[in-house]
Amino acid sequence: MLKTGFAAAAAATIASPNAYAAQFAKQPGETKIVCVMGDYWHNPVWQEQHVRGIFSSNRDWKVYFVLASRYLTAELLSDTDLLITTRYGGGDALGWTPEPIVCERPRSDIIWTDEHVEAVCDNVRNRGMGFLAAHCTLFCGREEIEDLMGIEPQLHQEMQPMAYNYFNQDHPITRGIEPYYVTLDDQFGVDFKYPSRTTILFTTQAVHDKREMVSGWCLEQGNGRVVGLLPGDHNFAYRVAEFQEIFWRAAHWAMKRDIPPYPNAVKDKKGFN
Amino acid sequence: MRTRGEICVWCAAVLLAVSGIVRAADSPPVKIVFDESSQRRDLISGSVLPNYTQAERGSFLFYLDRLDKPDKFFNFYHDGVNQGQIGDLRLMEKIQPQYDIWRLRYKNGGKNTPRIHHKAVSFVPLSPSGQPEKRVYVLMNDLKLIDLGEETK
Repeated sequence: MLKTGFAAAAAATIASPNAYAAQFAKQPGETKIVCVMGDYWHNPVWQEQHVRGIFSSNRDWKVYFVLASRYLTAELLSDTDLLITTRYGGGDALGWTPEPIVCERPRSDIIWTDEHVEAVCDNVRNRGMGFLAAHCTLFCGREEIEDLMGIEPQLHQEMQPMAYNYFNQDHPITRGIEPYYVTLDDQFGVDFKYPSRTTILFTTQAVHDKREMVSGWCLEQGNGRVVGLLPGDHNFAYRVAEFQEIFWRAAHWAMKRDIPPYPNAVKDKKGFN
Repeated sequence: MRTRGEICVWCAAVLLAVSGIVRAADSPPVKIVFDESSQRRDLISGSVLPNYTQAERGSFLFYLDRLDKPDKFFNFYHDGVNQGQIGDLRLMEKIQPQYDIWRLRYKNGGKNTPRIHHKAVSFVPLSPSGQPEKRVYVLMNDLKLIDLGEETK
């Protein structure tokens, strides 16, 4: 039975991460999505709000956000349908605590430990878990995860407006998506390790630099599917309906699901996108 | 006539210089590769340089804008301007010259691909027989690889 609120918080303080994760075993009919998103540079608040918003129409989808990286365990991932990460390698931005008022934070956890890497690679390649590797995940600092993503990372340059100028019309994640523009983002880049079996989904042009880079791709890895989506240093990227739809479709594709029309498209044209 | 103190100072200086030479000679050279499109023109003399492939370890200096103001570090952009020390690196590899973007591989295993702000570099090239030659000054973009490898033989 799922514990909630203070009971879960109290359990978290005493249970081992794997034992704690066992409470969140997937129920019949449930789609289990685990997210590890946000750090000092990438605001976790809007990321969680947007991801929950994008998936909100799927009532049988349970979206779990891991707030302390030690809880991203093999047990938690053992029945997960989709893992979404936006985490470069290193410490969690804040040490996690269930306390509502804190004077000092506990020491924060590290992500992309050997245990994280082994659990993620095993679940994707062998069990077929979907992996949506968003934004800064490419700088996880672990060769095994880079290999899973099929890339060698390239750093972004200065923040600037971004033109999304090519969308693969032959792939279900991006078919029908038209070019659009985002006020401010950074532009990571990638070199593919497996170009013959990697599909480019879309490219961006950094408006000031005129630098053209691949910003979305996908590939199969063993029994699993991996999608890389590089936009999202700021919330501007996620406020665009087109990107929300790409995210929605990428989640379905990574889980080998049929892709229904995105029902939550909001054309927010208040000057933010 | 020199005092005993002066003689000691001179001796110490000579010893230091000799130990430096010995250390430099002991250190393996740094591998460098000129870009095929480079004219390999020295920025000071204007002369065309041989296609050097080795430089003396520890001789690299960087220039942000003026050739009379060398820096032992280079600036790069990563969420702000940072300083890089060539001594921390295993390799510098140019990957997007139109944006001054180089791949940096660090001795500690880290890596990055930032824009390098310093525009020029100087170093002491080595002849094919391994002898140090006159310091040369070139644009960063004249090179495509600085492979520092391991420091000890």
